[in-house]
Amino acid sequence: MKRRHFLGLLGAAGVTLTTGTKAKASDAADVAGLPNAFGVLFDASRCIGCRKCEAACNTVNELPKPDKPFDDLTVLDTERRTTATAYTVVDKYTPKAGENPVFRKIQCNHCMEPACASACFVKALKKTETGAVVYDASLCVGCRYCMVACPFNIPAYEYNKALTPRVMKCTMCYPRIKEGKLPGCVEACPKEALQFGRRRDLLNIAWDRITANTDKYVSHVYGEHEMGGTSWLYIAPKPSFAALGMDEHLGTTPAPELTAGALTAVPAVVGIWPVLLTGLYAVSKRKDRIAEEEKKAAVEAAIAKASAEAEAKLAEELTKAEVAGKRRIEVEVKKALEAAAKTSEGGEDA
Amino acid sequence: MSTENTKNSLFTPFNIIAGVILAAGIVVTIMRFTMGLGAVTNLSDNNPWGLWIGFDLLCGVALAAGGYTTSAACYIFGFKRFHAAVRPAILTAFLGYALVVFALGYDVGRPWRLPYPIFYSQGTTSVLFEVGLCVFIYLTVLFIEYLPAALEWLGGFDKYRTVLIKVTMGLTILGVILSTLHQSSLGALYLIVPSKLHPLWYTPYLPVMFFMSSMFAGLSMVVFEGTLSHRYFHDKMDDDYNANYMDLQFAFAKGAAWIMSGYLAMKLIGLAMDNRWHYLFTGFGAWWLFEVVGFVVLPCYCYAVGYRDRNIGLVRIAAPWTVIGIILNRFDVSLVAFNWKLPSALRYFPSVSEIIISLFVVTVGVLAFRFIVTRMPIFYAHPAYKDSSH
Amino acid sequence: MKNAKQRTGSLLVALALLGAGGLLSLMAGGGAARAQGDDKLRADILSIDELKKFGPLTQPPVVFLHDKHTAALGKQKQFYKKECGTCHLSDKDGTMFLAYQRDDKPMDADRIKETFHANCIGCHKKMAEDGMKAGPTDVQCKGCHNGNPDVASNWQPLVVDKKLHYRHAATQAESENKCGACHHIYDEAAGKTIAAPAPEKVPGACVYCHTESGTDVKGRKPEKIRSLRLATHGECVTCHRSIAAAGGKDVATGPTTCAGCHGPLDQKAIAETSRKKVPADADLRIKRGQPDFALVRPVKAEKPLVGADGKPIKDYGMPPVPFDHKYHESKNETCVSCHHAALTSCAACHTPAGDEKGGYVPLEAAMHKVEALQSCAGCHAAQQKKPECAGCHASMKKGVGDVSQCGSCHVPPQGALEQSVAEFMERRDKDAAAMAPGLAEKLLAGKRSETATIAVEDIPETVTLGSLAKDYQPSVLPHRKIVLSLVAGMKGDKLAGAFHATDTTVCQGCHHMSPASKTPPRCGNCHPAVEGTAATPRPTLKAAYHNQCMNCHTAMGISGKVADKAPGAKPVPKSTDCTGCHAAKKN
Repeated sequence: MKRRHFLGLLGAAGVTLTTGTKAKASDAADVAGLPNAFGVLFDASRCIGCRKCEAACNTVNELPKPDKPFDDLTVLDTERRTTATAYTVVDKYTPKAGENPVFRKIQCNHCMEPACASACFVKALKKTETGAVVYDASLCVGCRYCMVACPFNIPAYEYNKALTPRVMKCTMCYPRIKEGKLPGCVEACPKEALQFGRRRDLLNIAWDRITANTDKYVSHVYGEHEMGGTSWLYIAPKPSFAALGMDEHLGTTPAPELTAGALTAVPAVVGIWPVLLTGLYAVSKRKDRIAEEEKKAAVEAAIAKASAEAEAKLAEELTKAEVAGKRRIEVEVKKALEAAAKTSEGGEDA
Repeated sequence: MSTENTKNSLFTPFNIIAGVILAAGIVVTIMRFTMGLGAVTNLSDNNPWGLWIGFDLLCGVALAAGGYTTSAACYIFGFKRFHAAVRPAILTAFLGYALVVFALGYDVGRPWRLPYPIFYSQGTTSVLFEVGLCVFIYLTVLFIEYLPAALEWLGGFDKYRTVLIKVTMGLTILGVILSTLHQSSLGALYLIVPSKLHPLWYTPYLPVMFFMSSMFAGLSMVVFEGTLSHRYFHDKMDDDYNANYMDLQFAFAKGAAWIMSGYLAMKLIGLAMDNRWHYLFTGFGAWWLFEVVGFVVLPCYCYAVGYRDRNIGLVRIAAPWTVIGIILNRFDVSLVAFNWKLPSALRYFPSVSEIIISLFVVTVGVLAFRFIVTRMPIFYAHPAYKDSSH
Repeated sequence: MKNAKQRTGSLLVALALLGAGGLLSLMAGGGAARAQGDDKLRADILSIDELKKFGPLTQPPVVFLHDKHTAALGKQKQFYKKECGTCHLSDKDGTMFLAYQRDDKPMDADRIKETFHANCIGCHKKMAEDGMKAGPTDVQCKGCHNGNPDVASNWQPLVVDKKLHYRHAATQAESENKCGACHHIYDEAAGKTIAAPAPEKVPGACVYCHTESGTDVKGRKPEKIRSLRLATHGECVTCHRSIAAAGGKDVATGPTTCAGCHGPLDQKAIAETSRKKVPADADLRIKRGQPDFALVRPVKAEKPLVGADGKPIKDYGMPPVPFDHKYHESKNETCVSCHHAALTSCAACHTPAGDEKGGYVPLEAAMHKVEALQSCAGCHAAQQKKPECAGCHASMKKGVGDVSQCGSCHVPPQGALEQSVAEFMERRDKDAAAMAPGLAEKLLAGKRSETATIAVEDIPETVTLGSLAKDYQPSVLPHRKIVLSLVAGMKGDKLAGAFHATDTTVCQGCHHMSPASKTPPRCGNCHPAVEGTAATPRPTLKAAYHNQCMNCHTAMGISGKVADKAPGAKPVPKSTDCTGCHAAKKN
């Protein structure tokens, strides 16, 4: 749904780079209802730390042989994680000092809605209908966002390959499942600490085992709800899953939902921004225009005022000039009259 | 150290340092593509993203935000008088994004497949897909926006130049949209790891935070870069640029101060929403306060006071300070607060080679910038197109 | 302007420090775990947090080391004048209050605070003035209010077990009323507590009346019944001190320091002394007139049942449970193990339907609740955790999961007893009570007191598990040895004997979920050899073998260790020692 939205809005933005492609199982919505997905139930109280699963995984996946052989159990004394050459590792924990150690097998949990698959920008990782989350090296760009996204720190990377590095992780033995076989590790486990089956059946078995032994087990199936649920399920002896180095605070939100909000905001931005920005542009343009007009008006007014003043001044000058002229004429006339009067007086004396 | 004066001698201190970095970078490049990432980086299965993502990508993109902020201010918000600052900002952004992609070529396992997410297999549920698509388009947009300068320099492409100038407005809006999307998406990348990122940094608002901080990062970067350019490329600048330059710095200071206070409010709301105050009394809390008080509150205050008092010196101090703050923030999210639950022995610290490549990328950027501004009409309007408003 | 610059400078310095501090603490990675030496583990830690009841504390509580103070003050001359009175007040009868420098009347927060501050600091100051080593004298809070003390508590509750009780009783052997020396009752007429006049009048353990926090009884004088802590410290420590004071250093008496009773090492020493001092043939039973046998009456309809047609319906109830009280006494250290609230019958509080008095635990649950150690099933389930039992029982359902087990306790009366039991169930009078012990003894007569199994020659000596052999050779199970060592582990265990009622019960530890028989079905009959992709709760054969063998070995604590003492005996293989059970195939 997010994808379609996203494409829709890209279209809205006028960006028509991508073409609609067929829906894939990696779409979260399609995966949530995988009723027949397989899974594996791991019972930590049964695991004896024999590393047979590690050996089987190594053989089945044709991984390079490790430095120390698989029957060397001193390896368990250091805490390990999955690597590019080990899809699964078993770690040893001692929840209560002086008591027997408890073991945990670590491998890809094959989330129902995988963080890695939702994070992959080329769909190199996808959740299959079998429940397995599988990787296609032919698409992988090697951005390693899947490794960042994985809440269980599972995917590993071939850092030492210069040109063809791959992301490496457990495949739940997808090819073997397809042939109706069990995953390598499950088949090798001497104690059925690993049990393969439909996830919904495994959940029932897990809860039956817990209720039959409430004083032994933690009352929780790890993976039933964690991160939206995982295909790999865990039950463990008391005191807690945290005692086995497992994060009990992952929450139940599927990883794709964590970024869904941000992705659904995309249409809003693409839809609203142009309108808003064009509006702003229009406003600022109008402001400019109004400012321009006001300026023009002001200039005109100024010019008008200036010319009016000039005219008034001219008129005034003219009047002034007129008055002055009149006065001058008057004076001249007066002068002439006086001169005339003088001339007439003198004539009588001669 | 003016570039014009160095024509006589190639062996200026700048050139020597740049040369050494380039040489070292080339050596590491060869190692990277013959021996793999493992040989040159401290990356591990627990720490798949290191300096090249934390600095080259996250900081690179944030600091290249000057492009969209300046062009938006000029063309959309109508600050026409800043017109002269647009071209330098666009150029910086273009080079910035080009270098981000260039640096990604080192970081991703098979760089020649970088077009895959866009042309071959679209992983549309991924935030990274959104980032990639937006960066790809935006880089194209920036290139088109930058093109007129190149065309003016080459001469004789007036027809094309005119067409390009006409779509500026559209490109600017597109640029803002794309920037909004991918700047925030870089923050959204970390939404998927609530269990790995320390709660003081993890918040559902990460995308908003990244977007807001990219805005003041861009503004600060323009101010900072302007100050630097003034020192080294003063002779290239025309009167128009110089006349409005102080004005622009003050305006950007004001804008940055406002956005930074909003950003600060968001940070606090984020804490209050999930009631995460108690984390403040831990080691990470002290570090968070160091980042927020030392590199948001204080530079924000400097900007505000600098603007109020018309104190250009203060503004010019605040700009690089903010830029360092942004880098610090991106480092915190991607490296320091990431994987906080891991024991310290498993935590990441960059290798010398990684630092060399980051320096190498920056150096290439600076050299390209110098090459272009000393030749093309960036800080000045081309005499032939003086009347054009672009 | 200069000022502003200075301020900015100091602000920057502060920020730098903040940043550096944050970075450093990030590097350190997580809180600094304190290394704890043994001398830092103490039993005398008192946390002075009395202001807690007035609201949140503004300072961390003071960690007060009581023994350290008494030891330090003991060296002082004037201490011998005032002794405990140096810190504690007494009432007019000379009874000391356990609170510091005040009586038992309520006090407001300010006055409590003042009492501590004035007296603690005052005393420290005075000692320092006199040139002695003293505690913090300054007014800096952290000297005393240290939120991060370098000591940790190893305080253990003290249990007066039967041997310790015997030793206390022995000191009173001469006295007329030896129980009354410690055990008191409240006398209504006198309006105060008096010594318990006779063993039957002893109310039992202190904790029955002196609860953890003390109780107030309206109309009683005094209204307050002291908390267990105040009562035991008030009585025990006072008594120990007075004996020491009267007899001097040579008279043996009990501890008076915190560690003396509550320190793990001292408790070990007490147990060791008990072992030496109490004669091996001593009768440790605490006699208070309790019966040797009891008949536990199951829930029964109060009124006769009447059908729809008005005719009475016969009540087919559960048969009563015969209970060997004396034997159970011998297997428990104190009466409180079962009688957790009073020395009455369980039904006195746990009514059939459950009510407030019994904490709403109905009678049925009081007997069968597996989680409760005071219940029959709970205590028996706890016994099954012993390594000898855990091999089989760790993977079995605990308590009343298996209904076929009901008869183990609710013994079905046979022959003549049937009539007597029916009569007992009908009547609730004194005669019924009187007949109970005899009846119970008879009902228990048929119980095995030792676990037995089928004849040795009928137990297959070895069993070869080879149907799955692929990577390894078949595993040869020393079957008879295993059975016999399991039975040997139960030797002398009456509980095991009573419940492993038939010869084949023991077999069912491994041969589970199928009818008990000398020739049980093969494992492969139920457990499929090949694991399919459809998950089922039933393990496949490989897992069944491994689970059964390894879980048993682990639960019994014998994996990787020599199980029997025969010379040259091979250790029981560890779970991860594949070739220990089945040799590797030679290629």
